[in-house]
Amino acid sequence: MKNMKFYPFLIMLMALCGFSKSKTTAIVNHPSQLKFKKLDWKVPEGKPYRIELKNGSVLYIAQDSLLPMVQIAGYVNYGSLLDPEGKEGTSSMLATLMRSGGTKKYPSDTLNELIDLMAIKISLTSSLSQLTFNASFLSEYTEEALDIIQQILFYPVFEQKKTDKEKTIFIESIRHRFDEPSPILEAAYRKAMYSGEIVGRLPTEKSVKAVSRKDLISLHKKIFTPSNMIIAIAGMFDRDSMTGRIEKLLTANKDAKPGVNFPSVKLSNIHKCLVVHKPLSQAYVRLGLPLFKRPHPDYYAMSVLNLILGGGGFTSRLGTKIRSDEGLTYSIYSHAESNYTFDGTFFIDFFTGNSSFAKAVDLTLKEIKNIVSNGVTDKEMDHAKSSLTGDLPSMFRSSFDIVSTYAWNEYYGRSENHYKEYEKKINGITKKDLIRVAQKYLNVDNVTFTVVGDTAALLEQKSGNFSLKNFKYKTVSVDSLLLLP
Amino acid sequence: MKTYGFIFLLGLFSLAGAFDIKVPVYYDTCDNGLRIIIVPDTNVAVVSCRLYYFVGSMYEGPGTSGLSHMFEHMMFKGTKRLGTTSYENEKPIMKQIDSLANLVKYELLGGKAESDSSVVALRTELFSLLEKQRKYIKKDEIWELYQKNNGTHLNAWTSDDMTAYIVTLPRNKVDLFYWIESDRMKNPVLREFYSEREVVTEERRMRYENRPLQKYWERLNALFYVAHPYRIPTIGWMSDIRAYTREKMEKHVKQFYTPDNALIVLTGNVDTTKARKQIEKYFGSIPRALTPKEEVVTREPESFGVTRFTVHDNAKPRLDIMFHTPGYPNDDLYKLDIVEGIFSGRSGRLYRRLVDKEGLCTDIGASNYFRLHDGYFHIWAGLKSDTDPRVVEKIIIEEIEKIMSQPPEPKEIKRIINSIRMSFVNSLNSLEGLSDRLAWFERLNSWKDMPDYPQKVSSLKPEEIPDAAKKYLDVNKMTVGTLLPIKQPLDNNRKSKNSTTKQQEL
Repeated sequence: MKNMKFYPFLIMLMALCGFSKSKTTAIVNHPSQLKFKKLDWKVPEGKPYRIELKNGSVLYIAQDSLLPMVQIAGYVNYGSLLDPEGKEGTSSMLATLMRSGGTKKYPSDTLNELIDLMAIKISLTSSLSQLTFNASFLSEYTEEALDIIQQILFYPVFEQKKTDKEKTIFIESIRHRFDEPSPILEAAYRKAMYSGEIVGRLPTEKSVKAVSRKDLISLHKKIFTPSNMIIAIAGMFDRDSMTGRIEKLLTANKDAKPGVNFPSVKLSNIHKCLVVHKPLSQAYVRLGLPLFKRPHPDYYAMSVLNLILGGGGFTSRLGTKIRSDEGLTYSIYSHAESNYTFDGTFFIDFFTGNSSFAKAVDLTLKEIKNIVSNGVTDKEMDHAKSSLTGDLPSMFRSSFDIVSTYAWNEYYGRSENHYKEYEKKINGITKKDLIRVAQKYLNVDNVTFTVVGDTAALLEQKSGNFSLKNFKYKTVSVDSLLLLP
Repeated sequence: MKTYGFIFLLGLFSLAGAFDIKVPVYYDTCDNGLRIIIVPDTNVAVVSCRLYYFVGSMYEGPGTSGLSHMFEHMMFKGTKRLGTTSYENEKPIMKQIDSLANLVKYELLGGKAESDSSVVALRTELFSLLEKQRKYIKKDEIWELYQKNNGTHLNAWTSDDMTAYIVTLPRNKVDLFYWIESDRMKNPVLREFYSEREVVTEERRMRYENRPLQKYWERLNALFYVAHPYRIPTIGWMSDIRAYTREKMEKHVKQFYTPDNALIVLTGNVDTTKARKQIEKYFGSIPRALTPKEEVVTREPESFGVTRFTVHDNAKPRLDIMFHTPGYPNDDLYKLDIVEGIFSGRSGRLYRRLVDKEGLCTDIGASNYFRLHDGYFHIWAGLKSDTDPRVVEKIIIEEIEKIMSQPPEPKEIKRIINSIRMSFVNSLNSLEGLSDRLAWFERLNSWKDMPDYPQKVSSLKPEEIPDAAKKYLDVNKMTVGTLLPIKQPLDNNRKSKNSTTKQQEL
């Protein structure tokens, strides 16, 4: 990727001058008759881009002179799963305030001015099991931008005034996080599938208020250490010089030993059917089933099965039946979670008009039963495999795609050959594998129902064998949702 | 038919520092009016393939609102050759379905409700005929063909003035795009129309009925535009969606989905000469529209008075202030981009004053929105729960008046120009993003305005800005929207439950 260039101007001009209306072949009657040349493309290796720095951190680096810019991503081993009980929201506040709370060298206002002046894009985000930072800037500002990035990553001061301000803003967002149905469904689903576990705990006004500046300083010191992060960088620079520059950037806090261990999280669905009342014109529905933590030998078979059942858009069975045939929804999909930290789930998500709620659920359950009993066709399986493996050229387009993908790959402890082996693993799946995993994981008797909608309109409905009343359902208001264990 | 196109070097020359990007852009027009833009890039193994039609909700009106969006859905239902085992066998069934749909239409026009037994019976019959037709339908064949051939970014979108059909394909399979899109342009078949109408109904419910912010915004936009069809929501009004017929849709399709109203943009690893030849082969014989597209002639009348709109709902409180601006192209728009920059960002004047200093807002920003006919300049503020929007409005007006009285500082100008440069470089970093940006400028005027844009903004003199602000940001002609929580009424005189107030201050 070092020598990437656009077509040189002269070559292009010659090519165009040679264009004329030459003899063309006839248009075939159907696209399936089109003949395509074999794509000469291989998954790029990650190894040439990987450097282990002296301080223990790993860097993926690519020199790329295509555009006058530099992109960086970093993955830090931490996440909201580790937020202390009663202080939920700590990791999210850490991410926000590292960016906005000023640094040792630059007070917050100066920092904002510098970042805006040079049009540096920088953000930090926190998820359940990962803290991520992303930055991009014009290459002419490389020195200044790296200085700012170093300050933000290693020398944040969490100014008290800014900490108070960001807390107020965070609390405002908490007050309005359930204004729309989708976030309610997500929160309710976590409560239903992981009762009593930290996965279902969300920040509250009280927990955010409990997070102090001191908490943020001590957490930052503990986790932002070179050995606890993997960095990816690509752009217009000299590779050797940049490697030295990054090594220098990562000298701060190098002696700390984070020892981050995520807590164990168990799937525990004591609420078989959880209905959150909100007067809406549609019901928002999620059907969930327990799955597993990766790496797991059944993951690839579940990926293929998922694509056939509901993960493949219009051509999946649920898309065809519930959306296209019946017109019951605008969106229905299934998802097999890829989770490396704790057991994930398989779920089907859709919304439908109140009056068609029971019918849509009933038809969805029938589709699950059908795939469990009868398996899939060769055509469906081949199509799903081809879709999954065919995405790879699109995933590895730029040098930054390569380095960030491999950095992320290493963060989750996967083999450096992961992407090379992927195609082989997917293509090795058989119909027998698919019916086996369908029977193992898609038992409709184990489905947990989570619904957000107008309780009165939904409880009365029956379609086929389905009615909410068949279950020991629990109804809660939006306000009391978070009081559930 | 020209035998070759021209290469333009799309270059951005130094604005404040030194960078020089050379990107070859091929532009040509087929004899039937179909425009082509190709940006070759040999570094990737894929090609972003996008077909844009210059139609959207601005070409719609009462009874037809949302038709372009509905057709976006219908384009995936197939053609005379795709999505069917026998179009000939489908035709008589679709005719019967159309008759029943007309009967439903007359029942509803006669005052019957959708739940009336006679309407329900007709609809049941209609859907049983659809089941009969489905014996000949190959479901979602277009989607399947693209997916099977490793298409990514497969989708379509509709806006007020454009509709796009998009897919990114491996470089060896671009012929699939030509085949499918030329067939969709020539031979679309509106099969499964009435079941898809139900899908769009659910989409509208999801996007607007159950999302307070979207519901508020849709109505505020319809108040802001008094005359221009920009006031029409892209998805269409619910009553219009429920009354769509195939006949209505066919008329719309014939008028707008023709090569003389379309643009193909290819970005990625594509051989320009070969691509041009293939486009001619697949699209060259498709005729222009029988009569040229009737362009929208309505323009916003000169605004007068302040329009206010207040909604209480379950939503994060916010304030929106909007001003009318001229259509594109107009040199004053670049000056308003500078005003946008002065107001925006964490070091922008509004954030520093209202978020940092006064602590009244959670976030704030401005946007200068270019549109073909009548654009708008928009200032929005996320309010804290206990903030009085009138105080925020007063401060925003003070800041507008400051811009009117004094040119921006050099540091502000440098920040804005750097932001535009960064945005320009970023747009070259994504095949799909570059396609959309080139198409958008081509739609507004010419794709060449894209590389020219940073230079146009950077050549402005600070002294030119106050006059532009005075001309367009007239606070006596603004539209002000406030979205407030149900439990936090504006004052004691306002009702607190889902109430809306609308008033004109003349």
